[in-house]
Amino acid sequence: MWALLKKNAFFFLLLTILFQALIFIPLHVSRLQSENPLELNYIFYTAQFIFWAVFLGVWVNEQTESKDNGYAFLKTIPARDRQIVFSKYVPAFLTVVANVLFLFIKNARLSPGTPYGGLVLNYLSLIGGVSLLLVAPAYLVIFGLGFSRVYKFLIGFWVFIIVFPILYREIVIPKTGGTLEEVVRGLSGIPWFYSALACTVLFWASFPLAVRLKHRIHG
Amino acid sequence: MDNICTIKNLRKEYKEFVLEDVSLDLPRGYITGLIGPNGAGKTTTIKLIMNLIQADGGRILVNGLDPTVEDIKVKNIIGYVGEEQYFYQIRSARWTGRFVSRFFDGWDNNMYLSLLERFGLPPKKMIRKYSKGMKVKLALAISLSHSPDFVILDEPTSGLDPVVRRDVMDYLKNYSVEQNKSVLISSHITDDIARTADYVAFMIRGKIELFAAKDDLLSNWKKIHFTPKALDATMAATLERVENHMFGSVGYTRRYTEIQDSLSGPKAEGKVKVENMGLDDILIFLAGRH
Repeated sequence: MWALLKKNAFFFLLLTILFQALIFIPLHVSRLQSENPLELNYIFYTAQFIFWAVFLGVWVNEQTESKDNGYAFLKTIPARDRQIVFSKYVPAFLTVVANVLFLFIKNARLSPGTPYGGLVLNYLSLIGGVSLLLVAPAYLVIFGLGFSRVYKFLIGFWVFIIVFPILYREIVIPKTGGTLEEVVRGLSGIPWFYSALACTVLFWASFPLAVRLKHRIHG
Repeated sequence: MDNICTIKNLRKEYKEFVLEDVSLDLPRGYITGLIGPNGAGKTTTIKLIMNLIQADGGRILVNGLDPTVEDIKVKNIIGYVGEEQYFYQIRSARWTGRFVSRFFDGWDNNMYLSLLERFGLPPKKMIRKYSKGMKVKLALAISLSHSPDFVILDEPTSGLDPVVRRDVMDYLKNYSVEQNKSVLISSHITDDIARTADYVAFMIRGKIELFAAKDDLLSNWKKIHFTPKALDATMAATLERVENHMFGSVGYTRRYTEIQDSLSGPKAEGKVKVENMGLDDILIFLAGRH
């Protein structure tokens, strides 16, 4: 189990570090230099990096597994399907948790003494939870149909998630007459603990199904 | 006889191929060769033993355990080298050894490292830089390092050069003899089987056509050349098949030791010539019956 976890965590960790280094640091530095470091607009955009990091981790990991016929290899050694799926779920889960915590700590540092702390945590927790809820079905289709059959769909989905916030801000918000801040405040209405708990439970509830699907396709 | 693997009425159906009612008992402590033309069902049978695919009928027991129920236990008993070698390509042999060691109960890392050395495999080199022969040797090193009771090799030597082939087959022979381990080797290269196997199973079009001890096969299967009119009706009746040619007849027998006496003596002198049949001759004979 530990061997599988280490192997799978590698790409997630690598991508998270890369994201932080290549995207976050320049962004954070520019924010720190501005007069008003913490804007809800900024939170709105950076929160989606949680999804980017975890989904790209899933994608790169599965692509490597598929390229190396990793599942075929694992099937020839005494590795249980449950262990294999668990070793995929855990890094994805930890990536989300780590990114939520990192963003929260960083944003809290950007705005010491502001009333944004609770709002930011609620919002990040919700986005983190939604990321988990999107990763779970991604794993279900990967285990149910095989990565080679669904990877194009997954790329399309990932691109959609990247583009969606921009489209939402440029098209949907102006039409509804609201502001981005209102949206963020509205989504932050759910206390972080509830969204985190609900999404975590739902994410792990999909685990037995993923094991069954994995067994069915590779068994 | 004690069997390491028992296969009963095994069935697997594909669109254009059916593995039909395969029954086979693989004796413990011996090397069994599974011979057949390409597409005969050898790999399918092995994949079913390994529980890599699911059967449509029949039953397999490995050391008394059903692989579909006791998958993990069975894989701890078996050392498997597949037709294709799958590894994490960007990893090294050393990493791969460490990785798989977590799954096998009886993993012996010293043995693994000594096998890497014996096979001339650089432990730190990325596996994608290995040649095909090196990958086969790596698969063999992994399959043997947990001292499995039952080693299964699916076409391990196809595509290998003769030196590597000989090295691999000799190692297996020693492994079986010295440690009383059972080995199943599937191959269409009959030379490899002839050199190493104790028992041979011939598989043709999804069926086991013949299973016997190799020495019995080689001493009983003969090709007999008769001069014109030398083959009488009584003798012809004991033969598997007779082919008549311009210069005489050719008969095939699988019971040579039984009919040997009737083929010798002054009556047969100069009229009968007995030719040994190799495993490939027997395979061609059996395949030709279909």
